[in-house]
This record gives sequence, C-alpha cells and structure tokens, in this order.
Amino acid sequence: MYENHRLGLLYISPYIIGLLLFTAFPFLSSLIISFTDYDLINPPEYIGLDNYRYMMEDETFYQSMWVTFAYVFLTIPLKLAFALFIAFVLNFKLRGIKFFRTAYYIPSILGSSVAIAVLWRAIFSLDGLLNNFLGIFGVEAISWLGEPVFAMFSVTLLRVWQFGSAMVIFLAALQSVPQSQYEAALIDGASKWQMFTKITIPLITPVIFFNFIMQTTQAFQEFTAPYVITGGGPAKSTYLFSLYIYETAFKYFDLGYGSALAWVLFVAVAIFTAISFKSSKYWVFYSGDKGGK
Amino acid sequence: MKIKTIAFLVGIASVGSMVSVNANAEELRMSWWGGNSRHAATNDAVKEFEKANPTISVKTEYTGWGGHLERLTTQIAGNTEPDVMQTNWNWMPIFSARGDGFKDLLDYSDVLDLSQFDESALAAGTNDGKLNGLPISMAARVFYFNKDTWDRAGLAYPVSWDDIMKAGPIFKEKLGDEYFPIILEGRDVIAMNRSFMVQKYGIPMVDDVNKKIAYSEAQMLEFFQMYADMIKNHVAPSSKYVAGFGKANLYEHKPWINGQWAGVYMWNSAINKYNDNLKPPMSLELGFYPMLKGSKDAGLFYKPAQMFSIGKNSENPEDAAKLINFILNEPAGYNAMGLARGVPLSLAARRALSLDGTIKDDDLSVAGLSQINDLPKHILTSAHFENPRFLGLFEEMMEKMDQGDISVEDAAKDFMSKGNRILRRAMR
Repeated sequence: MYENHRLGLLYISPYIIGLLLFTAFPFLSSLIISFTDYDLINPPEYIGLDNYRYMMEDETFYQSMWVTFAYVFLTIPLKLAFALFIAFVLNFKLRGIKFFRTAYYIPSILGSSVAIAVLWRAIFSLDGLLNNFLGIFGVEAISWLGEPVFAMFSVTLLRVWQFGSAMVIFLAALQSVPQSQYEAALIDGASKWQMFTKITIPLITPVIFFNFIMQTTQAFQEFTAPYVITGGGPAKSTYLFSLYIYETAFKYFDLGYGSALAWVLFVAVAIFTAISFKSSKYWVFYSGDKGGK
Repeated sequence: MKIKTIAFLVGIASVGSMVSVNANAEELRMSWWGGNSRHAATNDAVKEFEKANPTISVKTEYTGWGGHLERLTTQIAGNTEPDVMQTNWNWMPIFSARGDGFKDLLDYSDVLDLSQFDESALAAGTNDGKLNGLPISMAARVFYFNKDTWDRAGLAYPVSWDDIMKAGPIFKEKLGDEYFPIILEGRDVIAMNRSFMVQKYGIPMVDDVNKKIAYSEAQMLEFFQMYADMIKNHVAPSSKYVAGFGKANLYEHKPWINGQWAGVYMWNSAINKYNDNLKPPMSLELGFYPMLKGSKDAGLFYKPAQMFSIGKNSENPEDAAKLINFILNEPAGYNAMGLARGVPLSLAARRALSLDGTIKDDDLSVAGLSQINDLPKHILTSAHFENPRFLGLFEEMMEKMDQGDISVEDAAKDFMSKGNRILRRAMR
C-alpha cells in the first residue's frame, strides 16, 4: 500500500514539480516583487506599499480597470445568451444537426489565436471586408476601430463569436433535462416559452453558473484581441488590464508596478468570483434541492 | 609493468597539455539583431576576424528584432550577457544609467581606434563620462515625400514649416479627402514638433539636469497647437482616422501603399522599407529640411542607429574591443560588413566604401544622411526623450485631442504634469 502511494507520487511528480516551479514560485515571487522597485537589471529595492499608493493616483489604472469591467460585463451576458440560444436550437432533432454542431464549435478550436485577431482586424478595418460589404448597399464606411464605442464592440464580438465551448456544455446540460418534466408541463397546458423559463433554465442553472465563472475569469485575462487588433486604442478605449500589466512590466521595465497591478487584478477577479459564489445560492438549483439551495 | 606505467603517465601528460592549449584559446560571444543580410555580413566579418586572430574564437548569437531586447535583458539580469553586443541608444538609461552597465570603451582605446568617430557620436554613447556604446552608424528623422502624389497635387516639396501647413488644403482640394501630404504617428509628431521648437527657442524637450520637461506652459501649448493645426489644415490624418485601419505599421496600410499618405518624417536608416512598400511605379524622394530664419540648430533627433557595447562581465574585454575595432575600422571587417549596418560612421570605412562605389549618393538612406550631416545639430537629444512611457503619454494626449475628449490646452497641461512625473520616475 505504502509502495503504491510512493509510486503514485512519483507518477504525478512531473506535474507537481511543474506546478511548484512554473506557477507557485512565480505567483509568490510576483507578490514579493510588487513591494519593490525592480527594473530587471538593478537589484530590487524594497519600497513597501509605494507601488500600490502610486496606483491610487494613476489615471491609466482606473481607465484600464473601467475598460476591463465594461468588456467583461458586455461580453459575458452576450456570449452566454448566444451560446445557450444556439445550444437550444441544436438540441432539436433536425437533419444534418451533427454538421451544424461541428460548424458552430470551429471558432472555439481556432481559439484566441493571433491569426484570428489579424483576420478580425482585416474585417473591421476602415477599408476592410465589412465596410466593403456595407458599401454595396450604399452605406458609408464606418470607423469600427477608430471610434471608441465601435472599437470595444469589435473586440468584444471576437470573444462572443468564440462561443463553442460554452455551447457544447449547454448542449450536454439541455440533453440531461428529463423529458418527463416537459411531458407533465405539456399536459398542464404550458407554452414552449413557459417550459423554457420554468423547467429548462432552472434545471441547467448549475451549468450556467459553471460557464459564467469560467468565461468571466477568462475574459478578465483577455490580451490577444486588443493587443493585435487595436493595440488598446483608440484613446485607450480597449486598453484592457492585462495589456497594461504587460506594457508596464515588459515595455516600461517596471516589474514592481507591473506585479502590483497583476495582484490587484487577481484580487479583483477573486472578489468577483466570491460574490458570484455567494449569490449562487439564490439562483442556482442543484438536483435534490428543495427550492433554492 | 614499468613501461605501461610510463606510457600511462605520458598519455595523461599529453591530454593535460591539450587541455591547457584549449584553455589558452579564448572564446568571445557576440550578439546582435537584424535581418538576413546583416546576419550574413556580420558572420563573414567575424570569420575574417578569426582568421586574423587564430587564438580567438567568436560564438555568434543573432535574432530578428522581435524579442531581442527581452532576451538580452534576461542575459544581463543573469550576468550571462555576451562579450560584444549590438545595443540601441535608448537602452542606455535602462542598462547603464550610471555608466556602469557596460565596460567603458575609453579604457581600451589602445586597441580600439576611436579617432575614426566624430565627437558628437561618441557623446551619444557616453553615460556619466563613460563610453558605453560605440555608434556604428548615425541616423536622424528627415522628410521623404511620394514623388508621384506630390506631382499630382501640382506642388513642389515644402521648403519651410509654413509650406507644410499650406500643402494640406491643396491636397484636399486637388486630390480629395483621403489624400494627405504626410502621415505621422505619435513618435513622429513629437520628434517633428521638437525640431520646430528647438529651431524657434533653442531648447530641447527634456531637461536631464532638472529631470523635467524643459518647456514653459506656453511653449508646451504651442507644441500641441502645432499638431492640432496640422490636423485642422488636412496636413496629416488624425490619429482617430488612422486608428480606423487597426494596429499595424504605417507602411503596411493601404493608403500608404496607394500613395494617399504622401510623406513621412522618418529615420533615414529605415526609409527603404517605406519606399519598397509603395505600389510601383511610385517612389519616395528626400525632401528639404525646413529651417526657421535665424535658427542655429535644426533640432534633429540625431542618434546612433545602433552601437556596439562590451558586457560588464566580459572576461576578455581587450579582445572584445579588438573584435569591434576589426569590424568597424579594419578593411577586412568593413568590406565584409558593407552597408548591412547602415552607412558606417567610421571615417576609414566610409572613405573606402565610397571609393569602391558601395556607398551610392542616390540611395534614399545615404541622401538622407548627407542632408543630416549638412544641417546644424549641436543640441543633443536626451535618451529619456524616447522613454516608452513618455511617448505613450504623448500618443494618449494626441488621441484624446483627436477624439474630442480634451482641449488642446488641457492636453498640454496634462502632458506637462504627467510627463514630468514620468521623467522624475525614470531618472530617479
């Protein structure tokens, strides 16, 4: 038994070593670095809470935080609603449904790659595909990437478009809803909409919650799309927090401040997630629950 | 048995002597960034050096521009940097603010012929009295214009700052809303306006001594007003308009390729890539450099295009200096290098390469350099002028002005206070 225990530890040791070396160590180091003035060349100098104090007066910090929250609050509802809608449609027994399920999942396989972001830029550019298409109908070119509101919309749309993974999870959840409940509702004279809102939605709330948490934490860390498409512009309207952290640490060589920013983001995401978990008892229903858990 | 023992000992001794021979052969490491032509030329020059110095071998480490600074920074932070490094002028405040980040090349002047380099160039590589970087070639921003588009507008190239301002409305009237005499990014605008201010007031933008912006509030306002006027007069497209094309190099945008953006204020050393991207048969020509009447300095942002430095941890700095001297000052070195690192600054190299026709006067970069050499340029540019955070702030102000978020007055005031804060932090 003891031998097996040691053997088991040996087998998982590559992962454990990797976790300690490449995740836990940098994670804790960054906390220490956040209390220093460190430019990577000269030895770090302890400055206490100076980096955090500087943050309080840093307008870019507030701007970037505001943009990030706007991005998250815009992206997540849109993406989840769209993923659920498509999953709902794909749950019907239609001809060629397997093809459509695959087709809708493809954008997620392409993921947040640089190539897709470059393609996005080509579509939304002033002389891009979208404006050329609109031009056919006599619509004047719109500066999708030059107007702050449109630029945010363009960047957001890329993430919403990659709804495949959330959709597949929703689809699995929809298929696990017992048919007997729909049949009972049908006998009671419930409409389709009532069945959706009173049966489907409550029964899949654990999955909605799971998707919500996963997508939110990812959205807070979004980097590729704004970096490649807009560079954070125009006028910092798409300057997400991860972009600010990156530029501070590796463009301005201010690793101390960059680490402090990263920790603030970590705490913000942690608080947001904790609030979500706390609120879940009012709206997430697990099987076997009597009412809200 | 005895014979076997003796043979064994002889064997050990001979292995030992081989080891000691290898220990005598010195190995230098040299790194640089660049494209294929620079890699090939530098490797050739290094081979020539090894031929001339058989006791020294050189291990070369070269990459493209992308990621080179991060790689070098990691090496320097870990004290494992190469003996000889190609460095950038604006890296000096990062790596050697007090002059101790690299070896002082003045200490090796017995093997490194510094008399081949003019004093202003050497000053540009000097930090706190120590020569940390030896400039290989020099560069400055000058004006280049698209000949075909300017011909179509029926205009001669501008001679004065006023001419530049007057060209905008004519472009708009004759060619349309999408045509502009010049295209400027934030870093171009700040350098160009600085040039104007130096000509007018004789002071640079950054005051290194007092760690702040050297302009008064009124001058700062004038600085920003100049940009606002250029946008208003259709001289250059606004940052808002350019942002509509997405993030990319200017020369990759269609309006540049098609000649709608008909000029740049660009490094003479980088101009060929702008020219190469134009739709044939369009081409660029060097413009005149506008000078205010009576000004004693053109206000050029004149700086080394690249430099050679010796790592502070180098164990063979003398040999490293020899290698630099060979590449820059000795015929076998500079002949192998050609123009792969721009027009060489070394007098000996420039003279020889001009004589054999390698340096051609009609090349855009060479023509730009000869214009630069003819212009008065006594006022040096602070390395902090290119501080990425400082530049970023200027771009932010420009963008906010163009978006209508702030007035010119507020932009100038904001830039002054935040810019001073950045400079203080950078120079602490």
